[in-house]
Amino acid sequence: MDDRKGKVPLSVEGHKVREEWLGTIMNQYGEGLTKLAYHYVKDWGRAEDIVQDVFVSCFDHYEDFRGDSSVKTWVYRITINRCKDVLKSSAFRKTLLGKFDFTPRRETAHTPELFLVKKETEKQLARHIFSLSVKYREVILLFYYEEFSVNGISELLSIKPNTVKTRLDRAREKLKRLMEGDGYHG
Amino acid sequence: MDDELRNLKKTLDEGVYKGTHFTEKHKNKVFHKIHSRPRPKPKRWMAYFSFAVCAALILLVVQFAWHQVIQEKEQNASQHALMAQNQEPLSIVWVRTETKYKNPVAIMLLNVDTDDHTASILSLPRDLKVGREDPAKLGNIFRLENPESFLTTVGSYFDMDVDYYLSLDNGAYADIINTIGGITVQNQVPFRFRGYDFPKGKIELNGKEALAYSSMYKKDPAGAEGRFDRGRQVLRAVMGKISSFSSTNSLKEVLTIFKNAGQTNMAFSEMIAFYQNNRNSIDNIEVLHLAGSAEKINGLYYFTVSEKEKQRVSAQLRDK
Repeated sequence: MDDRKGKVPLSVEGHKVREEWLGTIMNQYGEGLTKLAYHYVKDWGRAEDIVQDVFVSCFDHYEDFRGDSSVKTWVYRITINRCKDVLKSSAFRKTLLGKFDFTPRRETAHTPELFLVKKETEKQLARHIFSLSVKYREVILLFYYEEFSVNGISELLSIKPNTVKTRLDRAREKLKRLMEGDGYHG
Repeated sequence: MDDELRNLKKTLDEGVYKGTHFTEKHKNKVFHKIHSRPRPKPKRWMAYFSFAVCAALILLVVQFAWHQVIQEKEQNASQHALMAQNQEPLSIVWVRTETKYKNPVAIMLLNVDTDDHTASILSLPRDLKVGREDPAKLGNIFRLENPESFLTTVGSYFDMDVDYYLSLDNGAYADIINTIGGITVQNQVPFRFRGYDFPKGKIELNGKEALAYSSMYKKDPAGAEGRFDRGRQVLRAVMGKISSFSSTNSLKEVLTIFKNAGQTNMAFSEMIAFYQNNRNSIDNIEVLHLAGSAEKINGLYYFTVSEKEKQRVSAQLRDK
Protein backbone atom coordinates (compact mmCIF):
# COMPACT_ATOMS: atom_id res chain seq x y z
CA MET A 1 0.00 0.00 0.00
CA ASP A 2 2.98 2.31 0.27
CA ASP A 3 3.28 4.40 -2.86
CA ARG A 4 5.95 6.74 -1.52
CA LYS A 5 8.83 5.02 -3.24
CA GLY A 6 11.29 6.87 -1.09
CA LYS A 7 10.20 10.30 -2.22
CA VAL A 8 11.01 13.17 0.08
CA PRO A 9 7.89 14.61 1.69
CA LEU A 10 7.22 17.98 0.13
CA SER A 11 6.73 20.03 3.24
CA VAL A 12 6.73 23.80 3.21
CA GLU A 13 10.46 23.75 3.97
CA GLY A 14 10.96 21.13 1.26
CA HIS A 15 9.25 23.42 -1.18
CA LYS A 16 11.56 26.29 -0.22
CA VAL A 17 14.62 24.12 -0.65
CA ARG A 18 13.42 23.09 -4.07
CA GLU A 19 12.80 26.65 -5.15
CA GLU A 20 16.22 27.77 -3.99
CA TRP A 21 17.82 24.90 -5.81
CA LEU A 22 15.85 25.74 -8.95
CA GLY A 23 16.96 29.36 -8.66
CA THR A 24 20.56 28.24 -8.58
CA ILE A 25 20.35 26.02 -11.62
CA MET A 26 18.41 28.70 -13.50
CA ASN A 27 21.22 31.18 -12.81
CA GLN A 28 23.74 28.61 -13.91
CA TYR A 29 22.09 27.20 -17.01
CA GLY A 30 19.30 29.58 -18.03
CA GLU A 31 21.28 31.53 -20.56
CA GLY A 32 23.12 28.54 -21.97
CA LEU A 33 19.99 26.47 -22.34
CA THR A 34 18.14 29.27 -24.12
CA LYS A 35 20.91 29.46 -26.71
CA LEU A 36 20.98 25.69 -26.94
CA ALA A 37 17.25 25.70 -27.64
CA TYR A 38 17.75 28.41 -30.22
CA HIS A 39 20.20 26.10 -32.09
CA TYR A 40 17.21 23.90 -32.69
CA VAL A 41 14.11 26.05 -33.00
CA LYS A 42 15.74 29.23 -34.41
CA ASP A 43 13.23 31.43 -32.62
CA TRP A 44 13.90 33.23 -29.34
CA GLY A 45 10.30 33.15 -28.14
CA ARG A 46 10.10 29.41 -28.65
CA ALA A 47 13.49 28.88 -27.10
CA GLU A 48 12.42 30.79 -23.98
CA ASP A 49 9.22 28.79 -23.67
CA ILE A 50 11.09 25.54 -24.02
CA VAL A 51 13.62 26.47 -21.38
CA GLN A 52 10.89 27.51 -18.96
CA ASP A 53 9.20 24.16 -19.45
CA VAL A 54 12.49 22.41 -18.88
CA PHE A 55 12.97 24.19 -15.55
CA VAL A 56 9.43 23.40 -14.46
CA SER A 57 10.23 19.79 -15.23
CA CYS A 58 13.50 20.06 -13.26
CA PHE A 59 11.50 21.30 -10.30
CA ASP A 60 9.30 18.22 -10.48
CA HIS A 61 12.27 15.90 -10.74
CA TYR A 62 14.29 17.43 -7.95
CA GLU A 63 14.84 14.06 -6.29
CA ASP A 64 16.30 12.60 -9.45
CA PHE A 65 18.94 15.32 -9.53
CA ARG A 66 20.22 14.94 -6.03
CA GLY A 67 23.60 13.33 -5.87
CA ASP A 68 23.86 13.43 -9.62
CA SER A 69 27.16 15.06 -10.49
CA SER A 70 26.36 15.87 -14.10
CA VAL A 71 23.37 18.14 -13.78
CA LYS A 72 24.59 19.85 -16.93
CA THR A 73 24.28 16.74 -19.07
CA TRP A 74 20.84 16.12 -17.59
CA VAL A 75 19.43 19.56 -18.31
CA TYR A 76 21.05 19.73 -21.73
CA ARG A 77 19.64 16.39 -22.62
CA ILE A 78 16.07 17.20 -21.62
CA THR A 79 16.28 20.55 -23.39
CA ILE A 80 17.45 18.87 -26.58
CA ASN A 81 14.70 16.29 -26.39
CA ARG A 82 12.10 18.93 -25.75
CA CYS A 83 13.34 20.94 -28.75
CA LYS A 84 13.12 17.92 -30.98
CA ASP A 85 9.57 17.28 -29.84
CA VAL A 86 8.70 20.86 -30.68
CA LEU A 87 10.34 20.58 -34.09
CA LYS A 88 8.33 17.47 -34.80
CA SER A 89 5.00 19.03 -33.88
CA SER A 90 3.02 20.11 -36.89
CA ALA A 91 1.96 23.38 -35.27
CA PHE A 92 5.59 24.41 -35.09
CA ARG A 93 6.22 23.49 -38.71
CA LYS A 94 3.30 25.60 -39.85
CA THR A 95 4.20 28.72 -37.92
CA LEU A 96 7.94 28.79 -38.26
CA LEU A 97 8.97 27.16 -41.48
CA GLY A 98 11.03 29.68 -43.37
CA LYS A 99 10.52 32.42 -40.81
CA PHE A 100 14.11 32.39 -39.62
CA ASP A 101 15.95 35.51 -40.66
CA PHE A 102 19.19 35.43 -38.73
CA THR A 103 19.00 38.81 -37.13
CA PRO A 104 20.24 39.59 -33.67
CA ARG A 105 17.51 40.55 -31.26
CA ARG A 106 16.82 43.47 -28.99
CA GLU A 107 19.12 46.44 -28.84
CA THR A 108 21.77 44.79 -30.98
CA ALA A 109 19.47 44.76 -33.97
CA HIS A 110 20.12 48.46 -34.27
CA THR A 111 23.88 48.44 -34.01
CA PRO A 112 25.16 47.79 -37.50
CA GLU A 113 28.79 48.25 -36.49
CA LEU A 114 28.66 44.82 -34.96
CA PHE A 115 28.16 43.42 -38.40
CA LEU A 116 30.79 45.59 -39.92
CA VAL A 117 33.50 44.36 -37.61
CA LYS A 118 32.77 40.73 -38.33
CA LYS A 119 34.37 39.00 -41.23
CA GLU A 120 31.83 38.39 -43.94
CA THR A 121 32.85 34.75 -44.36
CA GLU A 122 32.24 33.95 -40.71
CA LYS A 123 28.80 35.41 -40.83
CA GLN A 124 28.14 33.54 -44.02
CA LEU A 125 29.27 30.30 -42.42
CA ALA A 126 26.98 30.84 -39.44
CA ARG A 127 24.11 31.48 -41.83
CA HIS A 128 24.82 28.19 -43.61
CA ILE A 129 25.02 26.29 -40.34
CA PHE A 130 21.49 27.36 -39.58
CA SER A 131 20.38 26.15 -42.99
CA LEU A 132 21.62 22.60 -42.28
CA SER A 133 19.18 19.94 -41.16
CA VAL A 134 18.89 19.42 -37.40
CA LYS A 135 20.94 16.24 -37.57
CA TYR A 136 24.04 18.08 -38.82
CA ARG A 137 23.36 21.45 -37.25
CA GLU A 138 23.21 20.02 -33.75
CA VAL A 139 26.56 18.23 -33.90
CA ILE A 140 28.30 21.27 -35.37
CA LEU A 141 26.85 23.61 -32.76
CA LEU A 142 27.39 21.23 -29.86
CA PHE A 143 31.00 20.74 -30.93
CA TYR A 144 32.05 24.22 -31.98
CA TYR A 145 29.68 26.40 -30.00
CA GLU A 146 28.91 24.44 -26.86
CA GLU A 147 32.41 22.93 -26.98
CA PHE A 148 31.39 19.44 -26.04
CA SER A 149 33.78 16.61 -26.87
CA VAL A 150 32.79 13.89 -29.32
CA ASN A 151 32.16 11.61 -26.34
CA GLY A 152 30.16 14.28 -24.60
CA ILE A 153 27.95 14.70 -27.65
CA SER A 154 27.62 10.96 -27.90
CA GLU A 155 26.32 10.85 -24.34
CA LEU A 156 23.99 13.80 -24.82
CA LEU A 157 22.36 12.49 -27.96
CA SER A 158 22.56 8.81 -27.05
CA ILE A 159 24.37 7.92 -30.26
CA LYS A 160 27.74 6.23 -30.78
CA PRO A 161 30.92 8.37 -30.78
CA ASN A 162 31.66 7.14 -34.30
CA THR A 163 28.28 8.35 -35.48
CA VAL A 164 29.07 11.75 -33.98
CA LYS A 165 32.37 11.83 -35.87
CA THR A 166 30.71 10.81 -39.13
CA ARG A 167 28.05 13.47 -38.76
CA LEU A 168 30.64 16.12 -37.97
CA ASP A 169 32.59 15.15 -41.11
CA ARG A 170 29.51 15.19 -43.29
CA ALA A 171 28.39 18.51 -41.80
CA ARG A 172 31.79 20.07 -42.54
CA GLU A 173 31.65 18.77 -46.11
CA LYS A 174 28.20 20.21 -46.59
CA LEU A 175 29.29 23.54 -45.19
CA LYS A 176 32.33 23.55 -47.41
CA ARG A 177 30.21 22.97 -50.47
CA LEU A 178 27.82 25.71 -49.43
CA MET A 179 30.69 28.10 -48.86
CA GLU A 180 32.21 27.25 -52.25
CA GLY A 181 28.86 28.04 -53.78
CA ASP A 182 29.40 31.54 -52.41
CA GLY A 183 32.82 31.73 -53.99
CA TYR A 184 34.79 30.92 -50.87
CA HIS A 185 37.90 28.72 -51.15
CA GLY A 186 39.16 27.89 -47.70
CA MET B 1 37.16 26.71 -43.08
CA ASP B 2 38.22 25.20 -39.75
CA ASP B 3 39.34 28.62 -38.56
CA GLU B 4 35.93 30.06 -39.15
CA LEU B 5 34.38 27.13 -37.34
CA ARG B 6 36.73 27.63 -34.40
CA ASN B 7 35.57 31.22 -34.34
CA LEU B 8 31.93 30.14 -34.43
CA LYS B 9 31.29 30.82 -30.76
CA LYS B 10 32.58 34.36 -31.08
CA THR B 11 30.73 34.95 -34.34
CA LEU B 12 27.44 33.85 -32.90
CA ASP B 13 27.89 35.50 -29.52
CA GLU B 14 28.57 38.80 -31.19
CA GLY B 15 25.89 38.29 -33.79
CA VAL B 16 22.66 36.44 -33.47
CA TYR B 17 23.34 35.24 -29.92
CA LYS B 18 24.25 38.67 -28.65
CA GLY B 19 22.47 39.83 -25.54
CA THR B 20 20.98 38.21 -22.49
CA HIS B 21 18.21 35.77 -23.16
CA PHE B 22 17.50 34.52 -19.71
CA THR B 23 16.81 37.15 -17.10
CA GLU B 24 15.05 37.58 -13.76
CA LYS B 25 11.86 38.00 -15.75
CA HIS B 26 12.25 34.52 -17.17
CA LYS B 27 13.08 33.09 -13.78
CA ASN B 28 9.94 34.60 -12.36
CA LYS B 29 7.95 33.16 -15.23
CA VAL B 30 9.20 29.69 -14.33
CA PHE B 31 8.18 30.14 -10.70
CA HIS B 32 4.87 31.51 -11.84
CA LYS B 33 4.31 28.46 -14.03
CA ILE B 34 5.16 26.16 -11.14
CA HIS B 35 2.73 27.90 -8.81
CA SER B 36 -0.13 28.42 -11.19
CA ARG B 37 -0.14 25.40 -13.45
CA PRO B 38 -3.05 23.04 -13.33
CA ARG B 39 -2.22 19.89 -11.49
CA PRO B 40 -1.32 17.03 -13.82
CA LYS B 41 -3.99 14.41 -14.05
CA PRO B 42 -3.13 11.49 -11.87
CA LYS B 43 -3.47 8.02 -13.28
CA ARG B 44 -7.17 7.52 -13.66
CA TRP B 45 -7.74 4.21 -12.06
CA MET B 46 -5.60 5.18 -9.09
CA ALA B 47 -7.00 8.67 -8.92
CA TYR B 48 -10.52 7.51 -8.47
CA PHE B 49 -9.79 4.43 -6.54
CA SER B 50 -10.25 5.65 -3.02
CA PHE B 51 -13.14 7.71 -4.17
CA ALA B 52 -14.85 4.67 -5.68
CA VAL B 53 -14.33 2.66 -2.52
CA CYS B 54 -15.76 5.50 -0.58
CA ALA B 55 -18.79 5.91 -2.79
CA ALA B 56 -19.58 2.21 -2.85
CA LEU B 57 -19.38 1.89 0.89
CA ILE B 58 -21.63 4.86 1.30
CA LEU B 59 -24.13 3.02 -0.82
CA LEU B 60 -23.85 0.08 1.48
CA VAL B 61 -24.52 2.26 4.46
CA VAL B 62 -27.29 4.17 2.77
CA GLN B 63 -29.04 1.00 1.85
CA PHE B 64 -28.52 -0.49 5.25
CA ALA B 65 -30.06 2.56 6.80
CA TRP B 66 -32.82 2.42 4.25
CA HIS B 67 -33.55 -1.05 5.42
CA GLN B 68 -33.70 0.07 9.04
CA VAL B 69 -36.40 2.57 8.16
CA ILE B 70 -38.36 0.05 6.17
CA GLN B 71 -38.06 -2.54 8.87
CA GLU B 72 -39.88 -0.39 11.36
CA LYS B 73 -42.88 -0.26 9.09
CA GLU B 74 -42.99 -3.54 7.27
CA GLN B 75 -42.02 -6.54 9.24
CA ASN B 76 -43.51 -9.32 7.26
CA ALA B 77 -42.76 -12.93 6.59
CA SER B 78 -42.01 -12.64 2.90
CA GLN B 79 -38.97 -10.53 3.67
CA HIS B 80 -37.53 -13.16 5.91
CA ALA B 81 -38.15 -15.78 3.28
CA LEU B 82 -36.18 -13.66 0.82
CA MET B 83 -33.31 -13.30 3.26
CA ALA B 84 -33.01 -17.02 3.61
CA GLN B 85 -32.70 -17.47 -0.14
CA ASN B 86 -29.97 -14.93 -0.48
CA GLN B 87 -27.16 -16.63 1.34
CA GLU B 88 -24.97 -16.99 -1.76
CA PRO B 89 -21.91 -14.80 -2.21
CA LEU B 90 -22.86 -11.76 -4.21
CA SER B 91 -21.03 -9.66 -6.76
CA ILE B 92 -21.92 -6.12 -7.60
CA VAL B 93 -20.27 -3.80 -10.07
CA TRP B 94 -20.27 -0.24 -8.85
CA VAL B 95 -19.83 2.47 -11.49
CA ARG B 96 -19.37 6.12 -10.78
CA THR B 97 -19.94 8.32 -13.80
CA GLU B 98 -18.88 11.77 -14.78
CA THR B 99 -21.98 12.97 -16.54
CA LYS B 100 -25.13 11.15 -15.72
CA TYR B 101 -25.04 7.53 -16.91
CA LYS B 102 -22.41 8.26 -19.50
CA ASN B 103 -18.70 8.33 -18.84
CA PRO B 104 -17.57 5.97 -16.13
CA VAL B 105 -14.75 7.44 -14.05
CA ALA B 106 -14.56 4.62 -11.57
CA ILE B 107 -15.58 1.01 -11.97
CA MET B 108 -15.37 -1.32 -9.05
CA LEU B 109 -16.22 -4.90 -8.33
CA LEU B 110 -17.60 -5.56 -4.87
CA ASN B 111 -17.78 -9.13 -3.64
CA VAL B 112 -19.56 -10.09 -0.46
CA ASP B 113 -19.53 -13.42 1.29
CA THR B 114 -22.48 -13.75 3.60
CA ASP B 115 -21.16 -16.78 5.40
CA ASP B 116 -17.95 -15.50 6.88
CA HIS B 117 -18.89 -11.84 6.71
CA THR B 118 -16.07 -10.74 4.54
CA ALA B 119 -16.06 -8.56 1.48
CA SER B 120 -13.56 -7.55 -1.13
CA ILE B 121 -13.25 -4.57 -3.38
CA LEU B 122 -11.42 -4.49 -6.69
CA SER B 123 -11.19 -1.39 -8.81
CA LEU B 124 -11.20 -1.91 -12.55
CA PRO B 125 -9.50 0.60 -14.85
CA ARG B 126 -11.93 1.96 -17.40
CA ASP B 127 -9.24 1.36 -20.03
CA LEU B 128 -9.14 -2.31 -19.10
CA LYS B 129 -8.78 -4.36 -22.28
CA VAL B 130 -11.61 -6.84 -22.58
CA GLY B 131 -12.30 -9.24 -25.44
CA ARG B 132 -9.57 -11.27 -27.05
CA GLU B 133 -10.36 -11.09 -30.76
CA ASP B 134 -11.81 -7.62 -30.75
CA PRO B 135 -10.23 -5.56 -27.98
CA ALA B 136 -12.48 -3.04 -26.28
CA LYS B 137 -12.24 -0.80 -23.26
CA LEU B 138 -14.36 -1.78 -20.30
CA GLY B 139 -15.51 1.81 -19.82
CA ASN B 140 -16.79 1.94 -23.37
CA ILE B 141 -18.77 -1.26 -22.91
CA PHE B 142 -20.55 0.41 -20.03
CA ARG B 143 -21.05 3.63 -21.93
CA LEU B 144 -22.14 2.17 -25.25
CA GLU B 145 -23.75 -1.16 -24.54
CA ASN B 146 -26.62 -2.27 -22.35
CA PRO B 147 -26.08 -3.09 -18.66
CA GLU B 148 -26.60 -6.81 -19.24
CA SER B 149 -23.72 -7.13 -21.68
CA PHE B 150 -21.61 -5.00 -19.35
CA LEU B 151 -22.29 -7.45 -16.51
CA THR B 152 -21.56 -10.39 -18.81
CA THR B 153 -18.29 -8.78 -19.88
CA VAL B 154 -17.08 -8.29 -16.32
CA GLY B 155 -18.25 -11.76 -15.34
CA SER B 156 -16.58 -13.58 -18.20
CA TYR B 157 -13.40 -11.59 -17.68
CA PHE B 158 -12.97 -13.12 -14.23
CA ASP B 159 -14.86 -16.31 -15.02
CA MET B 160 -17.54 -15.70 -12.41
CA ASP B 161 -21.13 -14.53 -12.10
CA VAL B 162 -21.71 -10.87 -11.52
CA ASP B 163 -25.20 -10.27 -10.26
CA TYR B 164 -25.82 -6.56 -10.06
CA TYR B 165 -24.66 -3.17 -11.10
CA LEU B 166 -25.16 0.15 -9.36
CA SER B 167 -24.20 3.47 -10.81
CA LEU B 168 -24.21 7.05 -9.59
CA ASP B 169 -22.72 10.25 -10.93
CA ASN B 170 -20.37 12.72 -9.24
CA GLY B 171 -23.02 15.37 -8.79
CA ALA B 172 -25.34 12.99 -6.97
CA TYR B 173 -22.50 11.86 -4.75
CA ALA B 174 -21.76 15.44 -3.80
CA ASP B 175 -25.50 16.00 -3.25
CA ILE B 176 -25.62 13.13 -0.81
CA ILE B 177 -22.80 14.66 1.21
CA ASN B 178 -24.58 18.03 1.15
CA THR B 179 -27.83 16.42 2.20
CA ILE B 180 -26.30 14.95 5.31
CA GLY B 181 -25.10 18.44 6.16
CA GLY B 182 -21.49 18.04 5.05
CA ILE B 183 -18.80 16.15 6.90
CA THR B 184 -15.97 16.94 9.29
CA VAL B 185 -12.50 15.50 8.79
CA GLN B 186 -9.12 15.87 10.45
CA ASN B 187 -6.70 17.11 7.78
CA GLN B 188 -3.02 16.22 8.23
CA VAL B 189 -1.42 18.18 5.40
CA PRO B 190 -2.56 21.70 4.52
CA PHE B 191 -3.06 22.20 0.80
CA ARG B 192 -5.01 24.09 -1.82
CA PHE B 193 -6.78 22.26 -4.62
CA ARG B 194 -9.39 23.23 -7.24
CA GLY B 195 -9.68 26.63 -5.61
CA TYR B 196 -10.41 25.27 -2.13
CA ASP B 197 -8.20 25.76 0.88
CA PHE B 198 -7.74 22.80 3.17
CA PRO B 199 -5.92 23.99 6.28
CA LYS B 200 -4.44 21.59 8.75
CA GLY B 201 -6.71 20.37 11.51
CA LYS B 202 -10.44 19.87 11.81
CA ILE B 203 -12.21 21.04 8.66
CA GLU B 204 -15.77 20.95 7.44
CA LEU B 205 -16.44 19.90 3.87
CA ASN B 206 -19.46 20.15 1.65
CA GLY B 207 -20.02 17.80 -1.28
CA LYS B 208 -17.80 19.55 -3.81
CA GLU B 209 -15.07 20.17 -1.27
CA ALA B 210 -15.17 16.52 -0.28
CA LEU B 211 -14.72 15.54 -3.94
CA ALA B 212 -11.73 17.84 -4.23
CA TYR B 213 -10.37 16.79 -0.86
CA SER B 214 -10.37 13.12 -1.75
CA SER B 215 -9.03 13.65 -5.29
CA MET B 216 -5.90 15.64 -4.51
CA TYR B 217 -2.80 13.67 -5.19
CA LYS B 218 0.25 15.67 -6.18
CA LYS B 219 0.59 17.94 -3.17
CA ASP B 220 0.51 15.18 -0.61
CA PRO B 221 3.89 13.97 0.65
CA ALA B 222 2.44 10.49 0.81
CA GLY B 223 1.19 10.66 -2.81
CA ALA B 224 -1.47 8.14 -3.79
CA GLU B 225 -1.38 6.69 -0.30
CA GLY B 226 -2.33 10.05 1.12
CA ARG B 227 -5.26 10.36 -1.21
CA PHE B 228 -6.44 6.92 -0.25
CA ASP B 229 -6.33 7.95 3.40
CA ARG B 230 -8.34 11.07 2.68
CA GLY B 231 -10.89 9.02 0.77
CA ARG B 232 -11.28 6.83 3.83
CA GLN B 233 -11.60 9.84 6.11
CA VAL B 234 -14.44 11.14 3.96
CA LEU B 235 -16.06 7.72 4.00
CA ARG B 236 -15.83 7.35 7.76
CA ALA B 237 -17.29 10.78 8.23
CA VAL B 238 -20.20 10.04 5.92
CA MET B 239 -20.86 6.71 7.58
CA GLY B 240 -20.79 8.26 11.01
CA LYS B 241 -23.17 10.97 9.97
CA ILE B 242 -25.68 8.62 8.39
CA SER B 243 -25.70 6.24 11.33
CA SER B 244 -26.32 9.07 13.78
CA PHE B 245 -29.43 10.39 12.08
CA SER B 246 -32.07 11.15 14.64
CA SER B 247 -34.82 11.79 12.12
CA THR B 248 -35.68 9.83 9.05
CA ASN B 249 -36.15 12.93 6.92
CA SER B 250 -32.51 13.39 5.95
CA LEU B 251 -32.22 9.73 5.20
CA LYS B 252 -35.21 9.89 2.90
CA GLU B 253 -33.57 12.75 1.04
CA VAL B 254 -30.40 10.73 0.58
CA LEU B 255 -32.43 7.83 -0.73
CA THR B 256 -34.35 10.10 -3.06
CA ILE B 257 -31.10 11.36 -4.60
CA PHE B 258 -30.00 7.85 -5.25
CA LYS B 259 -33.37 6.87 -6.63
CA ASN B 260 -33.38 9.81 -9.07
CA ALA B 261 -29.76 9.78 -10.15
CA GLY B 262 -28.69 6.21 -9.68
CA GLN B 263 -29.14 3.22 -11.95
CA THR B 264 -29.35 -0.38 -10.91
CA ASN B 265 -30.82 -3.74 -11.78
CA MET B 266 -31.33 -4.48 -8.12
CA ALA B 267 -34.92 -4.74 -6.99
CA PHE B 268 -35.91 -2.95 -3.83
CA SER B 269 -36.57 -6.20 -2.01
CA GLU B 270 -33.19 -7.54 -3.11
CA MET B 271 -31.47 -4.51 -1.67
CA ILE B 272 -33.24 -5.00 1.62
CA ALA B 273 -32.28 -8.65 1.76
CA PHE B 274 -28.74 -7.88 0.72
CA TYR B 275 -28.23 -5.35 3.45
CA GLN B 276 -29.91 -7.34 6.10
CA ASN B 277 -27.55 -10.18 5.34
CA ASN B 278 -24.38 -8.26 4.74
CA ARG B 279 -24.23 -5.22 6.93
CA ASN B 280 -21.66 -6.90 9.15
CA SER B 281 -19.33 -7.31 6.23
CA ILE B 282 -18.88 -3.58 5.96
CA ASP B 283 -16.21 -3.49 8.62
CA ASN B 284 -14.29 -6.25 7.02
CA ILE B 285 -13.35 -5.25 3.53
CA GLU B 286 -10.26 -6.49 1.78
CA VAL B 287 -8.83 -4.34 -0.98
CA LEU B 288 -7.69 -6.32 -4.03
CA HIS B 289 -5.40 -5.06 -6.77
CA LEU B 290 -5.27 -5.84 -10.44
CA ALA B 291 -1.84 -5.17 -11.93
CA GLY B 292 -1.33 -4.47 -15.58
CA SER B 293 0.43 -2.28 -18.07
CA ALA B 294 -0.34 0.11 -20.88
CA GLU B 295 -0.60 -1.43 -24.32
CA LYS B 296 -1.12 0.42 -27.58
CA ILE B 297 -3.42 -1.24 -30.11
CA ASN B 298 -4.39 0.58 -33.30
CA GLY B 299 -3.35 3.86 -31.75
CA LEU B 300 -5.41 3.44 -28.57
CA TYR B 301 -4.03 2.78 -25.13
CA TYR B 302 -5.41 -0.11 -23.16
CA PHE B 303 -4.75 -1.32 -19.66
CA THR B 304 -3.70 -4.89 -20.32
CA VAL B 305 -3.55 -7.58 -17.69
CA SER B 306 -1.53 -10.74 -18.15
CA GLU B 307 -3.31 -14.09 -18.14
CA LYS B 308 -1.44 -15.08 -15.01
CA GLU B 309 -2.46 -11.97 -13.10
CA LYS B 310 -6.05 -12.36 -14.27
CA GLN B 311 -6.10 -15.90 -12.91
CA ARG B 312 -4.57 -14.80 -9.63
CA VAL B 313 -7.23 -12.13 -9.11
CA SER B 314 -10.03 -14.41 -10.32
CA ALA B 315 -9.00 -16.94 -7.71
CA GLN B 316 -9.04 -14.27 -5.00
CA LEU B 317 -12.49 -13.18 -6.10
CA ARG B 318 -13.87 -16.71 -6.07
CA ASP B 319 -12.44 -17.17 -2.60
CA LYS B 320 -14.92 -14.64 -1.33
